[in-house]
Amino acid sequence: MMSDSTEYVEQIRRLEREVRILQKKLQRSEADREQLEDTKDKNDSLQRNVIGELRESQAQIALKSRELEKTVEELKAAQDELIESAKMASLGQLVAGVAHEVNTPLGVGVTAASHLDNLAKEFSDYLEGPEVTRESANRFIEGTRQSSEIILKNLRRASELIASFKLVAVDQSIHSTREYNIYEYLGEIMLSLSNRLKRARVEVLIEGDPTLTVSGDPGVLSQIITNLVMNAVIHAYDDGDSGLLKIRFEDSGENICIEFEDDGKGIDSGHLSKIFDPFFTTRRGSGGSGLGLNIVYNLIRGQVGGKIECFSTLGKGTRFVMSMPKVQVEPIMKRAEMS
Amino acid sequence: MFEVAVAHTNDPDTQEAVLEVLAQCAEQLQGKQPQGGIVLAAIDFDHPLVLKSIHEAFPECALIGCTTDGEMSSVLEFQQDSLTVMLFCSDSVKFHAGIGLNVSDDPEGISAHAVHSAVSEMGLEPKLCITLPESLTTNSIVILDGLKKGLGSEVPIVGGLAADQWRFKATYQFCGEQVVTDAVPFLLLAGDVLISHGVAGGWRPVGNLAKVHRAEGNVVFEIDGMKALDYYRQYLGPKKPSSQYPLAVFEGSDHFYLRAPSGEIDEDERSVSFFGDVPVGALVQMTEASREEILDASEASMRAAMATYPGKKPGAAMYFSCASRRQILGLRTREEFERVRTSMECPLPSCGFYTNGEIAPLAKGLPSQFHNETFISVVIGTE
Repeated sequence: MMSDSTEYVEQIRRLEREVRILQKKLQRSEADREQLEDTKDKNDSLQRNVIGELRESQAQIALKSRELEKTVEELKAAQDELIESAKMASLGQLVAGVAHEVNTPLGVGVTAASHLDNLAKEFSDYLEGPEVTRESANRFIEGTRQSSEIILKNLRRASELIASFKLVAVDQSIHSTREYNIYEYLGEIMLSLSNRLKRARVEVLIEGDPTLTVSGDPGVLSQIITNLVMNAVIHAYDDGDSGLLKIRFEDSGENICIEFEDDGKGIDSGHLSKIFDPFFTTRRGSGGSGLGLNIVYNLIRGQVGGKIECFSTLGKGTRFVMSMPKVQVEPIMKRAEMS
Repeated sequence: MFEVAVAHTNDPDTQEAVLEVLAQCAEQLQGKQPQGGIVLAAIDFDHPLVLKSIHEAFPECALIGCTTDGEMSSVLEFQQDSLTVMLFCSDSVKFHAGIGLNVSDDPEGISAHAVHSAVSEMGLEPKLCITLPESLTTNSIVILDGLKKGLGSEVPIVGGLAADQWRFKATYQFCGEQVVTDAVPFLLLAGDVLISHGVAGGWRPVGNLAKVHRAEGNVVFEIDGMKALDYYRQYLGPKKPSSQYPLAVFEGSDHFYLRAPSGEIDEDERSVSFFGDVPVGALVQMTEASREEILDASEASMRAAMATYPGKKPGAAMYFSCASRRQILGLRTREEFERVRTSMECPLPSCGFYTNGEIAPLAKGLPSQFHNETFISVVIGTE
């Protein structure tokens, strides 16, 4: 009986404890539910408002991106215009070169012609005189022959010069695909630049298979090489320095590899990664447009479908390594324009 | 020798709860007298009775404690309205408890003086300071500054701010038999103690970046040309800003720390108070956290503590988890303890609580910092 009652007391004590705990848990659960609902409301509101902000940001981004697209288009148009004027400027240089080069043979021709004219006048006066000898007739004939030879030789030289200028100038302004000998064509380009090279005291050495031909637009190669030469003449050497440019080319299966190397100052490593960027120039103040090498890059990557890399060591020189297909397809854009 | 007893009861009757806790401790200690300990109690208990009873049972024990927002231990896992006690016995680790009273009068000076005096009394170089300061009456960052000043920068400080079950009315701190409010109790450990810890959050910034235009200490008045309260209301609606929605305060473009609203607002000024200072000119962003991210972070915190423990055999673990985590986790709060327990390499006697703010260095060797929304795991031992 005694042990029963102790057991009951113990059981009641346990049950009372359970009840206390459960009551407290219930009470806590109510309070927690209120807090959690409050948190849930805040979370819902936060989500709604953040989504609202995101929508607003998206709309702003869309607007900004439309504005940016427009700006990019405008910049592209401005860049095209600049590239076009840079091309025209290089044609202008070509014309100046033509004038200078042709001037020499024409000048010699004019002198020889006026000498011939004098000879003819002298001989005419002589014929009206009292004595006409065979010896003087022979002297006259010799004089006229010499003058004619000089005139003929110089007119031929002028004609040759004009022919090669015409080839390069026409190739630079009118693009068409044909098969051409790369060694000879590089020679023509150098001839057209000879005036500028002479002034800069820079010599050019061309090495490669003289029979190798390429099918493509020679005007593009002309622009590439002209821009590389002008870039080297302007940037690689200080005024008064002399230099040597080496152009090497070789057949590498489907491609032709061209190396263009100068022995000038070299390019600072900080600038090396930017040299193909549009408008990058270290000579902004002295008239550099910063487009020369960008045009080269675009022509090789875009028009020719080739690759270009630049290596440089300060104080030793700079080397451009280009690779382009031997058979170059006309760019789609141009075909569309033509049709 | 380093032995740890952990007792935990959810009996809401104070007398019964204390008896149960003491019985559990006696069983584990088997006659040994503990030298140090921590008491974590829900707000509704008769705290003087709790402390008096424990003190009577273990008069030599250096004891500190506080009220909480929820308790957890290796005995009953996560509980609310419960009482948990952790007691340490060791012949190679020395324990010394101290307290700074009326800390809001001079948070830095009182904290620095109290801890400095305690170090002198102990006569040993402390290796760790565990603190459970007041969270509502004063700026906790300044309390921490005071503790750092009094201890020197070498001693790591870990702990959590006393809480009151999300009521934000009054929290209580314990030291020996004393039950007070507006105080900073601390337990110093010296001797051959080995320590490691981990800190992780889980909150991430959402919404637009904004700039703090006007703030004084921990009270923010204007954000992005808007009154601070209106800034919060544009996100949370008419509800009062609460600590589950801290601001990410950016230092540089990637790194940020969190500052949580303390729940105190001024309707006239339309200002919002935070647990910690928010600098003028700082870029801030609203934040949110998912339950999964919170739980992943808790686990990461314990893994970090385990991975950096300098010895071979950890003796005990302590946790300080932000009360805001519990608010977001809801019914999944119990998973937090579960995830932390399973990420321990071996089962350890452990206890901890949901806090109104956490304290720990971001990594070993760095100065201790005040945190919001984090889970801090501390592992101690002698081997």
